[in-house]
Amino acid sequence: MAWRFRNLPIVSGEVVHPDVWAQNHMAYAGEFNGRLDRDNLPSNVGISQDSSYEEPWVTKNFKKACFHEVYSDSFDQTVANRFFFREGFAGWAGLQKDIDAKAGSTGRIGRVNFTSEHEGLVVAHWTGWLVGEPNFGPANSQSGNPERDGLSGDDFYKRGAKFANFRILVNGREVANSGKHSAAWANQCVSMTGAAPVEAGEVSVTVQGRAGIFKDLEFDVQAFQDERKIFALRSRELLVIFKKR
Amino acid sequence: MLSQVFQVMKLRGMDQRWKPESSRARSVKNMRWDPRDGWSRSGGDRSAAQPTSAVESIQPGVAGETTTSSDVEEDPFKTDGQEIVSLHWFAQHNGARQWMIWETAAGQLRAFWGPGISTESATISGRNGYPWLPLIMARSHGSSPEKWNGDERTRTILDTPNIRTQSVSWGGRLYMVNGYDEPIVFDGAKCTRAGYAGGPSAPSASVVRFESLGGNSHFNYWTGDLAYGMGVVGEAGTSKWKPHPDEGDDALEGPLRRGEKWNMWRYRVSFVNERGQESPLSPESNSVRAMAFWEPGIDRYSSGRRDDKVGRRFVSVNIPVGPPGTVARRVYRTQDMLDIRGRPVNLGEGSNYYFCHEIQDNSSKSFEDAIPDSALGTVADEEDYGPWPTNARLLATFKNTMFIAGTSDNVLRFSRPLHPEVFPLNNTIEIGEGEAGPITGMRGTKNALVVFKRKSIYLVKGDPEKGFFAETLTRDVGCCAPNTIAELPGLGTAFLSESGVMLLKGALENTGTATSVVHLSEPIPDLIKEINFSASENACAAYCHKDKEYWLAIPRLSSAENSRVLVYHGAIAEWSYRTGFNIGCMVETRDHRSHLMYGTNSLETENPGIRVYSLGQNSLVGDSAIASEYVTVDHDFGSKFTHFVPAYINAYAVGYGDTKLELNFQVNRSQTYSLTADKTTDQQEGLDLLGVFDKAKWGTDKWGYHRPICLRFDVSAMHEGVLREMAVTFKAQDSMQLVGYDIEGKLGEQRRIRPLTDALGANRR
Repeated sequence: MAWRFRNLPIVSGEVVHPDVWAQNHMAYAGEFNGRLDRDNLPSNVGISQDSSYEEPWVTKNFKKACFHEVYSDSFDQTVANRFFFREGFAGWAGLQKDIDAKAGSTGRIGRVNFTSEHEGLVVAHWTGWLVGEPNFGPANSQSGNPERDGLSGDDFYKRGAKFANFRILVNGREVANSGKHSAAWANQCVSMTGAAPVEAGEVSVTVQGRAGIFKDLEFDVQAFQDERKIFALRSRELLVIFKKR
Repeated sequence: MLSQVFQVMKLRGMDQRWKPESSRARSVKNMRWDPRDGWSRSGGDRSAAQPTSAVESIQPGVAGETTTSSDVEEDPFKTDGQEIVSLHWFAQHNGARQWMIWETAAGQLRAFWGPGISTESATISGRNGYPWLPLIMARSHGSSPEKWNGDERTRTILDTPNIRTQSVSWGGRLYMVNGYDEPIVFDGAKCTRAGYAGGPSAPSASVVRFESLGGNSHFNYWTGDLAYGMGVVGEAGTSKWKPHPDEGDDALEGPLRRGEKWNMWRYRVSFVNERGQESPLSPESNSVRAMAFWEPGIDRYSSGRRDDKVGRRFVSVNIPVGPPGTVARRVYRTQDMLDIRGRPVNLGEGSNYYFCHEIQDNSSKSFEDAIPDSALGTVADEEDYGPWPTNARLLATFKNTMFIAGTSDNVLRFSRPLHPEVFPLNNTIEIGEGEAGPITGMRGTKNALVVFKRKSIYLVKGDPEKGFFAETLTRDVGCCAPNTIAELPGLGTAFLSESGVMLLKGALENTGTATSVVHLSEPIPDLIKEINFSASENACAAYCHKDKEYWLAIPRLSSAENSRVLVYHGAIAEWSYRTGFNIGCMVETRDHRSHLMYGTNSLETENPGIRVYSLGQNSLVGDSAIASEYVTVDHDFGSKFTHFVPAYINAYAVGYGDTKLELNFQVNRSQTYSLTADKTTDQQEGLDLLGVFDKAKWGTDKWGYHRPICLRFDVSAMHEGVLREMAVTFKAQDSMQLVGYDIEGKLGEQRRIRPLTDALGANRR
C-alpha cells in the first residue's frame, strides 16, 4: 500500500492558507525520491500470459545495459566445434589442448572474459549437449545392455562407471558444479548456474570439465591410460549476465 | 453585583464523572487534539482506492467538453460490495515493499495492488480493474495454484462475534491463522501452509539386488567395497560364526563364512518446506537386514584394483512425497543394530536415528542409501520436532520464537527458536488456571510476552536457551478482545477488558519501574457502559502515530458490529469519541506514511470497502461533513443560593474563515439547550478579514493564515431561573479549533434580604 492521500481539504469559505497548497503538494512530491513502488509503477511489465504490453518507466526510460551486461560464448553441434574427453586425462580441463596436445588452440568448453568499470554480480549459466561413450551408451531407458564397453556385466559394475563432471569458475573460484553425469546415457543435457560477486576490473568466467572413472567418491585418475574418447560435448553455451552494483 | 469572567484555557478531554475539573469536557465528539493545544475537528475518511476520475482530464466550461456520468469512475470497493473482515499489513525488503492483505465476508483473501485500478488495465489478462489481486495457494507440483477468491478457495468466515484472522510477520513473510482453515504463510508471491500437520508415513526399505540374476544368494546383491556401501563387515580371518539358536533356520542362508556379518537398519523420514521448516519424523520403517562380507585375497580381478572380495550393501528406501510447499525430504537412519553374531545390540541402538541424507526435491519416491554408519550425521532428537498445533487462533513472536495459543486445550505452545513452524511437543506452558478463562490475546512487548486470559494476565519470560516460564501478573483483569491490544508509545500496552480499557504499564521486569495495570477509561464510564461486551471479540484498535491517538472501535448497545470509536489522545492522556465509523478491522501502516486503514463491517452497506482516515477529508465516505462538538463540563458556580447570570461567552478559536462556529448551552444539567436556536458566527476577526477560498482572487487578495481569535457570543439565561451550573456546547459543521473560552456574567449571593413588609410597610406608604 504505497499510495498517498491529500493532507488537507480545500473548503469554500475557509481562509486561503498556503498550507493547503503546500502540504497537499508535499504529500506527493515527497514520494518521488525513491518512495514510489509497484503500487505506483507496475513492476510486472512486458509480457502477460497471453499478450504483451507496454507500460511506462521501465522499457523506455533507461539507457540500454545501464543495469547489466550480457555476454555469451556458444558453439553449435558441428563436428569442428565438438569438445572431447579422453580416458587418458582425468583432470579439470577447459581447453581441448589441455587434454589433447594435438588439438588446436581454439577448442574450449566455454569462456567469457570482460573488463568492467563497476563491481557487481556475475550470474553464469551454462548448458551443454553431452554425448556419453559415443555409440556405446543405451539410447533410452528401455535399452538394457549389460555388456557395455566390452566388459562383462559383473566387471562393469565392479569397476564402476565412467562419469563426466563440469564446473563454472568465476575468477578462478568455483561457483557451480554439475555433479556426475554417467556415460551410460548416449545423450543428455548438462545445465548449471552459479553467481559470484566480483570487483571491478577484469573478470574471467570459465567452464571446465573432467571425465573418468569414479572410485571411492572421487575421480580415479589412474584407472585407465587410454586415448579413447569417452565423452563428446556438442552444442553448448555459456551465458554470463553481469549485474552492476 | 460586578460581572466576573471565568476563563478556561488548555482544554482537556472527556470526564463523565459528576464533578470534574473545569478544563475538562462532558463530551468531545469527532474532534482531534491539536499539538498547539486546541481541539480541532477530526479527519474524515476516503476509500483506499478512491477512483481517479476521468473528470480530471476534462475541463468543464471549455467549449466542446462536458462531463457525463460515465466519466466518473466508481469506487472499486463499492462496485465489489464486500464487507472487509480482517486487515493485515507487513513489509518486505527493509520496508521497500509493502503489503496490505485483507479478507472479505465472501472468504476472499486479497492483496492491495495499485496498478490494477486502471481501467485500461482491465483489458489485460490477469487484471480486473480492481486495485487488488487474490492471493494464491501453492499446490503440488504439476497442479495450478488455487486462488483465494471465494471460488477456488474460500476462507472460513463467521457471522458471530469472533477474533478473526490473526497475523504476525516473521522474516518478511506473513503468518495467518483463524483457527479453522489451515495456517498459511504469504511470502510475497504465494501462500503455502505454515508448518506441517504431522509427519510423513513410514518409509519402507529393502536391500538392492541384481534384477537380472535369479536365486536367493546374497551374492545377488549389488555390492560396494570397503569405502563405499553400507554395513559393518566381520573380522577377516576369524573362524566362522554359528547362527544364534534363536534365529533358527531363518537367520542365515547357509553357514556364515569368515568376515561375514549381518547388519540391520531402520529408517525414518521428514518433510522440509521451502522455509527450511521440518515436519515431525515419520514412524519407523521396516528393519532391513543385509549381509556384508570381506574375504581377503579371494577372487582377484583383472584390473588389479581389488585384492579382497568385499561386499557392502546398498539399501533402497521408498519415501513418501510431501504436501504442497515441501521442497525436500530428510532421511534418518539407525546405525547397524546387530552385534557381530547377528543379534540386536540393545534397544537404544535401534531408536537413535542419525541424519542420513537430504533429498532436495518432492518428487523422488525412492532413495538408494550407500552411506556407511561412520558417515552418518548427528542424531535426531525427536523432542526437537512437532506439528503446527491444530486450530491455533492466536500468534505472537518473542525472542526468535513463535508462540501459539487459542487451541481447544487452552495451552500456550512455542516453537523451536528460529524455526517458527516447528513446535516440539514438550514446548508447552500451561498458563494459569482453568477458571481464568480461555487465552484471549498475546503480545510480545518489552521484556516479556504478555498472555491475556479473559480474567487474568500472565507474563511469559525467559528465553529459548534457558527456557520460558510464566508469571501471574494479575487475576483481577484480563482482555476480552485480542484485536484491541496496542502499544501506546511511552505509556504501555492498552487493551479492552470487561472492566473497561486498561493499560499495562512498566518495564515488565524488575527495573525499578513498577509493572501495573491501570484503568485507562475511568473518566468515561458512560461510554464504557454502552459497549456490547457480548460482542467484544469484534472490537478492534490501532494506534495512530500521526495524531498520537489510540483508536478503539467498539460494538455499542445491542449491535454486535462496531459503530463508535473511543479515542485516547496519548499526548494529553484524555478521551474523546467519534461517530459514523463502522470499523470491522483496522491497521496502521508501519512505514513513513503511517496511514490508518480500516475495513468496513456489515453496518456499512452503501460504501463498503477499505478506508483511509485522513485529515484531508472533511467527511466520511457517503456522508455529509463531519459535525464536531465540544461540550464543556457543567461549571459549578456555587451553592443553590448562588446565582449566576451569564452575559457573554467568548470562544477563543482558530479563525478558519467564513465558516461558522455554533454555540448553545445547558443550565443545571438540563436535557435541553437553553437557546432554542444555536448562536452562530463567522470564524473571522471582524476588523481583519482574511481572504477565503472561492472568493479570494489571484493578484488581489493575499494568502491567509490560521490564528486564534476571539469570537463573542451574547447570551442570556434569565428564562432558566436560578442558574447553578452551566455547560457550553461549541460545534461546527466545518473546520473548527477551540483553544479556550471564557464565560462572563454576574455572580452573587442573595444574602441581603429585605423583607417585603419592610419595603411596603404601612409606615412607608
